[in-house]
Amino acid sequence: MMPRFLVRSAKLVLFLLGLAAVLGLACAQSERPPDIERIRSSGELRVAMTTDLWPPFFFLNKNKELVGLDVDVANDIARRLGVRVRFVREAKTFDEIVSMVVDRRADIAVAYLSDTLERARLVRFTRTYVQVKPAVLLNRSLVGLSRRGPDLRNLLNHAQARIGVTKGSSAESFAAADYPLAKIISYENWIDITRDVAAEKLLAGVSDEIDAKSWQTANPEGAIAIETIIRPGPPDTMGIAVHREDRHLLYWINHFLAIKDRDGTLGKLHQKYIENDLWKKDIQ
Amino acid sequence: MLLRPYTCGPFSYAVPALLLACVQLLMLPLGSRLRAADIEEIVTAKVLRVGVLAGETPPFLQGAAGGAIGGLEGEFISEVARRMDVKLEVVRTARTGDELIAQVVSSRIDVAIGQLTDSLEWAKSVRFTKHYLVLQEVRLVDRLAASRAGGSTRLLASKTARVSAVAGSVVLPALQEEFSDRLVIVPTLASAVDEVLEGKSLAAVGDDVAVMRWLKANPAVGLRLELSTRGDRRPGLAIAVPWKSDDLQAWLNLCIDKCNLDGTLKTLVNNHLGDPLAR
Repeated sequence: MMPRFLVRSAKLVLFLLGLAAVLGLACAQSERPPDIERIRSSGELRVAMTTDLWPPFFFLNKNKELVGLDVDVANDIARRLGVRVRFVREAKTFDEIVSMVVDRRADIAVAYLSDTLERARLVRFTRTYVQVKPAVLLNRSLVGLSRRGPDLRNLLNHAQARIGVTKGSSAESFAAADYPLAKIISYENWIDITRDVAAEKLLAGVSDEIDAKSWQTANPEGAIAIETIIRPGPPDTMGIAVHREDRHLLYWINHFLAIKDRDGTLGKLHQKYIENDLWKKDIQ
Repeated sequence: MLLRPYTCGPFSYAVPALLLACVQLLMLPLGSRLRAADIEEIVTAKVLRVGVLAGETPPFLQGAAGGAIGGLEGEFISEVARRMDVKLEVVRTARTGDELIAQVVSSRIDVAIGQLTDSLEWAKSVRFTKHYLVLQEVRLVDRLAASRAGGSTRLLASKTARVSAVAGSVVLPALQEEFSDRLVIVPTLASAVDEVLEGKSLAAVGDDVAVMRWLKANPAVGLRLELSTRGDRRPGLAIAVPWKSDDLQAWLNLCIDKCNLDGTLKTLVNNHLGDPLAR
């Protein structure tokens, strides 16, 4: 005769198998994509952003409303999904935005987020919806003293070079890869980097054309001490981050972006926010 | 107390558990199908179930000899099935595009074809292949009204402009976005033109194939109408597949590429459409 504990174990295993079968059946009967259904049934699209504002991607206008390129894109996605949008601005860094999508504290991230290979290990990125050129701010007198010629890589890639980058930004990893011999120093914000470049504490600050132009516009007299270089080469590409399991949502947003690219909407957004700075009149 | 049934008899849990286990065993083939292997399933069954609209929509879909489907899309999907080395099973029960998409969602059919444009609304529940044919939106306005307004563009720029289009037309998604509740949906292109000539709408809008066929059949009325196009309004036709069938979608995309490269699609377009608007 079979020992009693073996009979019990066998019965328990069979019961669990049966339960798994029932759950499997429930899943199999779900005909519509669960990711989009989840958003539709919740009635809102949660969009991750940083607590800091990053004009022209997301910033407050004079009426204290959140506006900008990313806000326009996110609003349009939510509208076409038939839900309202909720901006979840809890992330302290850009990498933390990715964590919010991974942990499902947000459905997507539309937040001036570069689609770096490191981040793409954690989330899926849509096709590029906007791209910006990389930029470097150089302290003119430190450059003169270094006597290393005009080549940017030669200027920045040596042990004495101190380069400032914003913590958790794509520039942090780009600078480390491009200038491996330099000392890369992470800052909480871009303003502090520009201050230290001007004060000769840093040889350079690395970011993109948006940050560089913002600094130039706010500090026209700073051009005497600081040289701005919009770097040639591959641009920094922004994608919308989606949870890696939300495959149909990813397909749908890619489809949405393809349509918006074809009908010229993305081009108009680029013109409005990246090529022109008329949006600055509306900033708080 | 919770454990009491466990001690009531040796088979108190075993019987339902065994039944559930049997259900699970029966579901194994279903489960493996849902996970992937979408192409394998079609190839194993040797049949591609294609859904098309119930009525004939020449020159895109129409009956052919021996019960086959003809027309540009009919011959194209037959070619797709031939390249997949399977037979075509045509399901012609859907009366509207929405019904056709619902058949894809419920997996009653493997694919759907028939002047389906990859609208964002439909793409929420199915996947679309790349375009196998790109059409052109065409607007017909009253020539006299356009002349008085200083051109058709000015005429249609009015915030109160109403336009008419045919139900189920590929031009609808973009028009709904642009005109919203000022879009009048009518059953035929002839009734859309009537709306324009009666001054109820400012434009009758359709795709180039439908409009040029209608103008050819109605040359006298056509004289009263001015034709205009918009470069950014080029709706594409695509095949719909179930949202889980990403392998099938990828295969069909490759098949469309190859049909473009070897001239198959170009031949079909020339045979069935001619050159409506210098395509």
